[in-house]
Parts: sequence; structure tokens; C-alpha cells
Amino acid sequence: MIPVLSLRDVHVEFPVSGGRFLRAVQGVDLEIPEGGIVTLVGESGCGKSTLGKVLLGVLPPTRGTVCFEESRLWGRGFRWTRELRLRVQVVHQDSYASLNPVHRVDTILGGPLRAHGLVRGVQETRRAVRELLERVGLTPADYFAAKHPFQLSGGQRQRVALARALMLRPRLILADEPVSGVDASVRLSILELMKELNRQEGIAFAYITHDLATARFFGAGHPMGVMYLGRLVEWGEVGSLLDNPRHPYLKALLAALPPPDPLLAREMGPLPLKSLDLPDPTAPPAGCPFNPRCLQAEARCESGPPPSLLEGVACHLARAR
Amino acid sequence: MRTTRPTLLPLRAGLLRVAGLAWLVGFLVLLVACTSRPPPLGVFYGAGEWDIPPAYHGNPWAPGGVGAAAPYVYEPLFVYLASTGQYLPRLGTSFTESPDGRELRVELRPGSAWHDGKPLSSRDVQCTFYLGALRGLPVWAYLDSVECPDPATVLFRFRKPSPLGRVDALTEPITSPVHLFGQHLPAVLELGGTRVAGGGGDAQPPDPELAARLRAVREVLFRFQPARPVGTGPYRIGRVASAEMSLEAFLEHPEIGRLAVRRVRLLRWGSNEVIWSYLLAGQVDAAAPACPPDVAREILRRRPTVRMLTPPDLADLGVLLNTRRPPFEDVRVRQALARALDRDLVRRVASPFSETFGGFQVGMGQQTARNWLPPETLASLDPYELDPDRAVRELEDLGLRRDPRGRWFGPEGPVRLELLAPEGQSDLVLLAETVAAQLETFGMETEIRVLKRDLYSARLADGDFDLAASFGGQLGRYGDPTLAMERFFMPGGQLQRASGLPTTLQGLDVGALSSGLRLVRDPLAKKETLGRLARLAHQELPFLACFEKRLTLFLNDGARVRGWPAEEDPWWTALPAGAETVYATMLATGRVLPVEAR
Amino acid sequence: MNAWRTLARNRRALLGLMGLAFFLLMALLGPELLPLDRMPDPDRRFEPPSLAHLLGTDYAGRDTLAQLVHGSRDIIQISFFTGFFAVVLALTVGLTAGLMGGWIDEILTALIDVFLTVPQFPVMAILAALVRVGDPVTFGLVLALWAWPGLARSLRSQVRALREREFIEAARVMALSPVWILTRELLPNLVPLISVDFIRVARDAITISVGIMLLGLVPLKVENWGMMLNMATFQSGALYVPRAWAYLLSPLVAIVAFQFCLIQLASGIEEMVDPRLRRRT
Repeated sequence: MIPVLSLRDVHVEFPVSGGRFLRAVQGVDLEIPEGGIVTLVGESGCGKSTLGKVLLGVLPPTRGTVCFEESRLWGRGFRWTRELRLRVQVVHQDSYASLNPVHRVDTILGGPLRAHGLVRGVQETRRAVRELLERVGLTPADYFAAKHPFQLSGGQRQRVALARALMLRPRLILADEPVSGVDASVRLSILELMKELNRQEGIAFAYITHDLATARFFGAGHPMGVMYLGRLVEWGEVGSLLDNPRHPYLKALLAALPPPDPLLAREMGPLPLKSLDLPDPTAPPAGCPFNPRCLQAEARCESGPPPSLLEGVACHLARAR
Repeated sequence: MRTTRPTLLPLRAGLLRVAGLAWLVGFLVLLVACTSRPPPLGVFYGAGEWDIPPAYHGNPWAPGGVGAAAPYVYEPLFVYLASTGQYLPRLGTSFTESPDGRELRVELRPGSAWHDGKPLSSRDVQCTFYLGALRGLPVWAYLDSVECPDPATVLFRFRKPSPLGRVDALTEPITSPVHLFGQHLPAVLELGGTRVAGGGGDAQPPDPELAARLRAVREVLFRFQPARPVGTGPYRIGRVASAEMSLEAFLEHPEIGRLAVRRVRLLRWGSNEVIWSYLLAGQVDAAAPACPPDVAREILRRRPTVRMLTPPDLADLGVLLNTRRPPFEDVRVRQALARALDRDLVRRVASPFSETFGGFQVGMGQQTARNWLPPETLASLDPYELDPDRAVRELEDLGLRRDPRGRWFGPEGPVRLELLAPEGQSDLVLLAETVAAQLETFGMETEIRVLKRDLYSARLADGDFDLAASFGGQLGRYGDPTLAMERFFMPGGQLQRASGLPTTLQGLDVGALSSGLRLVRDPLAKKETLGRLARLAHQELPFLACFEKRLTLFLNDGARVRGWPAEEDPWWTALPAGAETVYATMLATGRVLPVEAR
Repeated sequence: MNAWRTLARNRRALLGLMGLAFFLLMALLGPELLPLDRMPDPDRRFEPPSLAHLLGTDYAGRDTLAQLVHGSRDIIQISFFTGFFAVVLALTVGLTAGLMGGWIDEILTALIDVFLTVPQFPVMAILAALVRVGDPVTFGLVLALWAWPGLARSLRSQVRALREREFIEAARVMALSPVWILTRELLPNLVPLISVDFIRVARDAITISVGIMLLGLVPLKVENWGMMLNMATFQSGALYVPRAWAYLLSPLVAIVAFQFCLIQLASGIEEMVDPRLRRRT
């Protein structure tokens, strides 16, 4: 079966001052199967949001290929079609910035519906919006339809954003930290909603987060990638990866995690690392990029690049063991 | 919230600005009026302009110079009273003129000294005139040389004797003592600067090298900054501030005994409104700002010691007509206009204290005409009286038509006129407005454009206008209609150039006639020529005078100083040449006295 | 229709709208009902209000009310056209600079800076020597030349900030057209900025038009409210004549009232478009 979306050796570089380049994404291979869920975790600044923009199709990679099913993006003679555009939709982290502040909810949802000819006339639009809102659990729908974004809570806004993402019937929804700005008490219900959409509608999800607890909750049974400094350093099924981490980075992340209950998970405590700062991504360290922070680093970590991800982990030490 | 939204606050502040502008002015007036400083007795308060320190430099030759204090610090040889032809002695005591007018011998007042103690000599007078050549002193158009037969005698030798040249020579302020300015003299003499300044009729195209060297001398001269200028006048400069100049008596002055008012303060003029406020507050003793009647009445009502005189300005104001363009290219249209415009109405709005110009548009006021023109001239002319119906008939006879709404149409469509006025001259702006209102009512669409002075002059010089609010005949400091006729008829004369009037009219070479007028010394011959030109001014009508301007002179008599002469006094006829000179001379000769403390 | 209801419910906006409607009526019908007699009658100058002259007379004895009424036409047209052209210019330059970025942005920003620093009146004086402006449309255009850069600059920075916002990205992945994004997503967010600036420009136009009349770029009209105020304060000395209070106050009050209405309407529009300012209902 052809994956909804696949990346091959994707690199993203941004020019920065002094003729140097910021390597935000380096050599990432990724496939998101139809109706599947892929979770990406990592600290902020690890390049996961940049990767999200590549997945969304708003940022062309510097090198490598991006395919929406059979269609290769960004190639010679490539042009966006509406159908292609609509395959991937998004739920952003900042629910306030992701909804136009001057429009009411019914306009935010109804406008694009009418623009794409999915509904006609006032009545039909109103009905469609009502159905949508009910589907994402915003009832009474008429009440919420008349609200402006600033009149809603963070959780309610994310539900609107989710409604907007799913209403154009995408194959994949990119959820970029969808619950990190939301009260802990409603995080679970939003993730439940997303899972339900995944199960019932077969919409694939790419879930990007720094929060391992929600990753375990939402991505259980599906593959997860750990990103560090623009690279995937570990890959595997969520549960087994979190129970048996092999890469020292993931181990450090897990060690910083407060006790089990994912719903009580808060921000991570200080990581057990040599240095809390990420290395300068415009001048990455030689050898394994993690070696300046790694407590177990050896001489070879500083000399040679780590092995490829073929065996599930890109680490000199993990492989030896 | 990360959204930004523009604040309304600046709007409200701006709203207040408009209201504030008007109220601020009103408030300031009130403030000035209310601060009742007890008037320091015996001090004369005048008003004028000068460069604000530190720009102020005190060099009478460089731009900026001594400012309003100059008439108090410097004296001319004589003060000329235009109405009587009388010369009041100042630095000169008497003069004699040779029969051919080529030699003018002036005796200097004995005992005169400069403020730094050096005695005055004829060499100082000579120095002043020769340095003046660097700035193009107009008298050099007539003058050949200035000589010093002895220290107390100055001898002017004229190339071209002229009554006007004599006035120029005798009334020039003497500003440049040899001991301060003499070092520039050799350069001026060597380079023949006086010939260059002479210009006038026989001007050669200036030699560029010569001009450059003269310019170099001038620049050295300009760099001199004495701060306290050295003059011979009854007062010397004490302190110069931005708002006030104070002057003290010069105790070594030979006529110090007659100088009863020992201190003078000059306030910054700024604008007419400022002077109105000062007058309302009783803080200025003599000033002649342009002033609407209601403001004048308010000043007189509030200040019982203030008197208002309306001496003549020896100038008339009206509209200049462009004789190049339709419709005024046709002299009959110009004449019709003269009958259609209510000149008295213009005067009453624009300058109510002035005198309405009569029906004789001869380039000079009625009194001047009686004095200077042959009696038969006016008798032979048909005066322009207000008669709109006749104007309509005349225009219709010329082929102009009116539509049912009364708008005039020429062959090329409706008559549309552009009327220019110079900015900052409120009587000319109001004149333009009243004329335009009348023309509109008469059926001629008229657009007023108020222009900056230089643009106004440029438009006039280019003949790019239909009508222009303007000065007409100006007698100036000579009180002589020669200047007026030059303005009207001399090739390149200001009004001639602007109106586009030909220099040959009715078979007469008016260009040559008007150009030669200055040099006519025979009073009868002069009268004859003036008569012929005046008749043409009336008939050709390049300019339609509306009123003879009168000044509004406010004198505070009895608050600090007293004794100002009455309105008929011929001294006031020197006012148009320079009001401050008149005040200074009245103070110096003891006509104005301090109010004593009781 | 929803917008109208919001507008009607907003008391300030309604007040402004009604006020402006009044001024508009005055400009449209007034001159027909109240003819302007420009003929001076100096004996009746500075008369206080009476039945014959409801607002008294001016320095030349002419009816002040008639001048106000006839002047309103000029004022409304000049204000409107100046505001309109300034907004059009600012939108064109500001949006282009903000959306295009790169060297186009640099050139346009430099252009804005040039216009912000070039002094208005000297240039107007030079313009006066070259062209003659008669009609209010051209006059508005000339006034707008100096009024747009401020708005263009704030529009540019606002657009630059907005286009990075996630809702624009969301609109892009929803395959909405650039025109849609510009008109439905971006512009509504800019309306408060634009409407407030429109009012500011329209208001300043009254003050500046007086200065420009005194430069000769446009013909002098004594019934222009700004010119009336100038004539009253500076040329005719009405400020010093207690009897002339009505003549002095009339243009002043008219200008303030007109601007007050503009401001009320502006804040009304702002509230209408920006729901965050709306009162919770």
C-alpha cells in the first residue's frame, strides 16, 4: 500500500548571516501509512516543527523528495492542485493565532466550505457548520458558531481548528503540539477526539510533540520517531520505545519525566545531560551530534558519524550493546 | 494578546489642535493685555525686526545688519520731508548746489563724533558712499565721485544731475567710519566699483573677473562683526536679546541737550497681530501696523492715551490688468471694468482708513496730481465713475454675451479670470477678495490665488495672470510721481513688464519719456512730461487703482513719552520712507519728551 | 446586513453617522436653499447673530451661515478625496511591500521614508509654481501625496506580522486563493488601522488645505471653513473684536463638530470590524 505521505532523505537548510547554513532537518526518511499515526518527539529547536512544515507542503525541502501518495512534490514542473493541497491539513499549537481573530466561528468554517463549493446557500452552510461543531464536541453548536475566537477557551479553539482541519476531508492531519497550549484537564479529551477521527474516518495523523506522556497516550501501537538536531535518532513503536529506550537522548528525556500518570504530566524537569543547551545547529559538533551532551560519550563518538537508523537507533553505543 | 490595534488618542489630541490654535492666540492676547507692568516713565518703546542673537552681528553692510535699531544708531546728512521738499539737518547743517546741479556741497555738523570717541570727518561720509558701491547703492546711477575738500565739507560730483539723486545722496545714513572700514576703500577705488554700482543707463555688461574681485572684497567686508555698531546717532546699542533691544543715549552727541528721552526699547514686531496685542496692552509708544478698523477702535477704547493718525503712504493699491491676454487685451474691456468695479467698496473692506481713488486713473493720487500735473490734464479727461449698466453696454458692444444667469461669454467660451495676490499682505489679499466677489456678481468667474512673494513676482514678470492685486503708483521716499511713471511705462518697469503695455502708445515713445524723467530738472518741462504720461495711464488703463493707502499710525501720547506732532505735520510725510527714522529724529530733536514722574 | 446592525447598535457610531449625514445633507441641499451672496457690505460687518443672519456676519458683512453651508461642500469633498487617495496609495504600497518582501520591499520602504522626510510646504510651493489645481479631486490627490506614507508604513509592518500568523498558513493549505486570503483574511485585520488613518488624514486635510491656499496651489475660497478661521484670526482681526464672537466661533465649532463625527464613526467602524472591542452581548 502506498503511504499517505513519504519523505526520502529530506534536508532543510536556511541561510543565516555569515554565509553559514542552519541545518534544520538532515536526511530524514519517513513514511506515514494510510489511516496511521506517526508521532515525532524532541526538544524545542530540534527541527520537528520545520519537518512539520515540510509534511504540510508549505516548505519545500532543500534536498530530498516529498511524496503525497503517488505525487512527488516540488519536482520539475510540479504544480499544486487543489485536490493535492487538501490532502494534508493542520492543527497548530497556538490556537489563538491559528484562527482569524476578526471572524466568527461560523465564518471561519463556513467560508472555506463555500469557497470550495462543498455547500451552497446560507441554510446549507449553517447546517454543515452545525454538524461539524457537533462532531468536534462543541454543543450547542449554534452557540459556538456565533462566537469569535477570543470568546472561546483554548480547548474550544483547538476543537474549532480540528473541525476546520477535517472538514475538507484530508488524508492526513498534521497536529503540531495541539494540546501544549491547552489546560491539562481537557488535553485528554482532545486527544481522544483525534483518536476517534483516526479510527472512524481513517484520517492519518502526524503528531508532533515534546511531551512523551501524550505521545504514549495518542500514538500507542504506532511508530514514533525521536528527533535530535534535525535528525531522527531513534525509531520504533511508541510503547516499546518508551519502555526500552536505546538512544541515550531518549533515555535522558524519559529520566526527566515525572511519574507515570500521563494526565498529570507537566513540563519536563531538567534533563540529566552534560549540557542543557542544544549545540549551535549552524556549526554542529563533529562525530555524533549528541556527543557534547551525552553522559556516556566515548572517543569514537567524537570522531565518526553515528550509524544509520536502519537498526532503529543512530548511536555508536546502542549498537554495540 | 499579540494583536495590535491603533490607538485613538492621537486623533483626540489633533482635534484639540484646531481648537487650541485659536484659543491659544486669544489666550496670549489676553495674557499680554493682563500683565500690567507699570510703564517705565521716560522710556520710548518701539517695535521692529532684527536677527536673533547669536546671528545678530551689528555690521551695517552685511545682511541682517543692525536691524530696527539702525535709525537710532546712525544718522543721515538730512531727513527729507516729501510733502514740503524740506531737508531737516542731521549730520549736515546746510548744502549748496551748483546751477548745473553737478556739484553738491554739504557742510557737516561741528562736534559730531562716533560712538567710540573718534570725531566725524568728511572722509567717513566718503567711505560710506564708496563702500555702498559694493552693495549697489542706487545713488551711483547719478554720482561720479564723493570728495573731501576739508574735514567738515563733503562734495558730491554728479555725472547725471537729478532731483532724485540729490535726495538719495542727502538721506543716506552715514554708517562707515574710515577708522573701522577704511581698509576696504583702496580695493573699491582701484576696481572702479562705483562704475559697476552705477549701472543704470550706461551699464556695461560687468566684467566677470572684476565682479569676482569685488565680490571677494564684499565677503571680507561681510565678515566684520562689531556686535555694538559704531554710529553717530543719539543712541547706542546696549543689549540685544531675542525679544528686546535696549538702546541708551550717546552722551557725547553734540545735540545731547535736546535729547530728553534717554532710553529706547525695541520689541520684536513678529507680525501685525503681535503689534495689535502690544498696542492693546499699551506697551508700544509708536507703531504703524496695518490694522482693521474694529481692532483700531478696540485699541483706542482700551488705551485712552493712544491716538491714531492716518498719514498718507504715498502709494495706491488696485488691480493690475494683463494687456496681453483676452479679455483685457482690449483697452475698452479695461475701461468697462473700471466702471463696473465699486472701488469704494474695495477700500471699505480692504483698507477703510485709506482714501478711495477717484475717477482719474493717472497713476497718482488726487493731491499729488494737483501738485505735479498741468491743470489742463485732468480737465481734459473723462473720469471713470461707477456705472455697471454702462459697463454692460460697452461689453455687449464689443461682442461679449451674457447667458440667462448673467455669466459673460467671449468668443472662446465663458470668461474665466485668475486674480493673483501676494501672501502675507492682508490689504492686498482682502482687495483681491472684494474684487473677485464683485466680478463674480458681475458675471465673470474669478479664481483668487494667493502666492508666496517671489512666486507672485515671477508670475507677474512673466505676464502669467489675468488680474493681480498690486501696488500701483508709488511715490516712495521722494514724494515724486516720477517713480510711478517709471513703474507704468519704462521698459522693464515693474508694472510695464507685468501688464505688457507697449512702450509706444498713441504714437508717443513713452518708454523714452519715462526713462528720461529722472534727469529732468526744469520743473515746467517735468510737469509737461508727467501730464502726457498721466493722460496715457488714464486712457490705456494698465492698472486700476482702488484706493490711496493711508497708514494707521498709533501713538501712545502721555503714558511714557508725550508730544507727538499732529496729523498735518509735514514730518509724518517722511513716514513711508521709514517710520523708525521719523521717530528717532523726533526723539533726537526734542519734539518728543518723557513723561515726568509726579 | 449584520454589519449595519452592529453599526446601528453602536451609539457612538450612530451619532457619528447621523452627524455626517447632516453635514452631507447640508452640502447637498444647503447651497440650493441658502444662496451665497459674496458681495461685501462693510457697514454690516461683525454683526452678532440675528434673525436675518443666524450666525452673524463676517468681516465684510456677509452671512456667516451661508458661508458655512457653501463651504461644507468643499470640506467634505477635500476630506473625503484626500482620505480616499491616501488610503489607496498606502494600501498599494504597504500591501505590496509587506507581501512581496525582498528588494521590492526595500525600494518601497525607501520610498516611504523619502515621502516621510520631504517637507510638505516647500514642495507644495514648488508645485504651486508648476501646476494649478482647481477641482477637489486633484486637490485631494495633492494633499494625499503627503498623507499616505505613515499608513503605508504601519500597513507594511502589520502585513508582515500577519502573514506569519498560522491562520494564513491554514488558509493556504486549505487551497484558498491569494485573492481570498488577501480580502477575507488579511484586509479585515487591517480595517481598524485604515479607518482610523482615513479619519486622521481627512481631518488634517482641513488644516493643511488652508496652508496650501496661502501657497497659491489652489484658489483661495473664503467660505472654506479653515480659510474662514484663518481670515477670522489672522487677516481681519475678529479675534480682537468682542462683537465678532459668532463669526469666530462658527467655523471653529463646525470644524470641531465635523471631526468629532468622523472620529465617532471611525471608532464605530473599528468596533464593528474588530470584535474584541465590541461590548459583550
